[in-house]
Amino acid sequence: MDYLIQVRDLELDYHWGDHHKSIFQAFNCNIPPGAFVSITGANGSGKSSLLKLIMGLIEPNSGAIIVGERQVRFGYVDGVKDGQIAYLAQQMDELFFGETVAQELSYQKEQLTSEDHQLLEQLNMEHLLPRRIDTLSGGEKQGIALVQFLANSAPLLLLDEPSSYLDKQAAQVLRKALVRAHEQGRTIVHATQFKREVAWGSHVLDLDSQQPRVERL
Amino acid sequence: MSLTIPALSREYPGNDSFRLTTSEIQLDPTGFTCIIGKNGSGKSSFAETLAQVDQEPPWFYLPQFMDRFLFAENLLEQLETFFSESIERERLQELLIELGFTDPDHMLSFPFILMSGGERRRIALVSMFYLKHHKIILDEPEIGITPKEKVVLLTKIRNLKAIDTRVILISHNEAFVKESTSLICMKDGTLDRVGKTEALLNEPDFDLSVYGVRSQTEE
Repeated sequence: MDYLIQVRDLELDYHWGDHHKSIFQAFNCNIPPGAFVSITGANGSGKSSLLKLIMGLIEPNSGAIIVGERQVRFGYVDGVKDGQIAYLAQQMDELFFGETVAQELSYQKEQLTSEDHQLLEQLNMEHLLPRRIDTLSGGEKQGIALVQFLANSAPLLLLDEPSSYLDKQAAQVLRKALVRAHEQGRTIVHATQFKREVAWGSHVLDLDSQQPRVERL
Repeated sequence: MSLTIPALSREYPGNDSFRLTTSEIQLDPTGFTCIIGKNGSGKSSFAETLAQVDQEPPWFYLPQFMDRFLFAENLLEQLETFFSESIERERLQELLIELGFTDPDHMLSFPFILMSGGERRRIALVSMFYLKHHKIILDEPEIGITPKEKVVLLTKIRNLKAIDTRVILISHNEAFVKESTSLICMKDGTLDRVGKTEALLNEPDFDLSVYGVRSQTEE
């Protein structure tokens, strides 16, 4: 397979009442398997939208996105359900299901794994296990989301400005884990505002450029 | 005259392991104060509680999560709910340009729902700067905005001292921390260190990374 992700003639507009915002016009790009792609661009350039399109969370006006051999279907999030895609959102406020941290992390498994415990320890967050989710700070929520995300073995990792809410120590855990995942051959697509984080990867997709394309660093 | 921050105390139902307990502190009123600390150390709890108890005059608190602040459909509607006077469009447009919007007239009535996270953050900052509050608390305002806009934000915060505005800023960003006049260092819901930034940074045992501050080379 030459490319894990193929974006073909994508058009995306958002509408609200009389207002309209155009995000992509005739946009094409290809992401090879095993690449670590950093998506950069100004606010509103489409970084988060592209990740959501790859997952099937939002519907393009036209065009297609193919992940592996399969065209993405809007509303089905097939890749996430099949364990092929793991996603870490910018803001985790509304994406937790459990009442406590322990319940959240053991969702769909009998008990926490040794990897879960290891990650919690690295983030100095083991003491949060009995805590109710609604009592966590913004940074703690992002840390718990990070544990969930990193414990996922999906071959395609999508991250939307994940380090924004993280302190120095948690950001270092994220960097090491992503570099390791890349070495293991997993494909990573990472939206970021931080120049330094672009250097973690192998490729960059600058959505501010006239003809955005995935380029090797 | 110094800026007095009263003693604060707060408990959280369902969370026996965390309690906010801080003593009264006196801060240098010039420049701005930064609150630093690792995730979960109590920075936002401190700021929210301060904004609730210290009402003379009230603190304007800009939260981390913009959806809790941008409740109207667009910027004009948002400001009209705070403001009984007519909106000074020209000043508002100048602020929009300063914060990186290239089509300010359009942005006045552009719906928040169509904006990205970073755009909503900048719109919230425009709204806050427009309202000219005398006491402001910004909770990690740099999240989601580009490095260029961070420089603008830092300049605007620096300029607020000229109009006698008190500013408290929560941040993990070294550039903001080093520009501050005073530091409040939080740990486990308590004040670990408090003092003038310059003095603390010159202390041999003081280390910003202990408080989760990310260096500029990491961004």
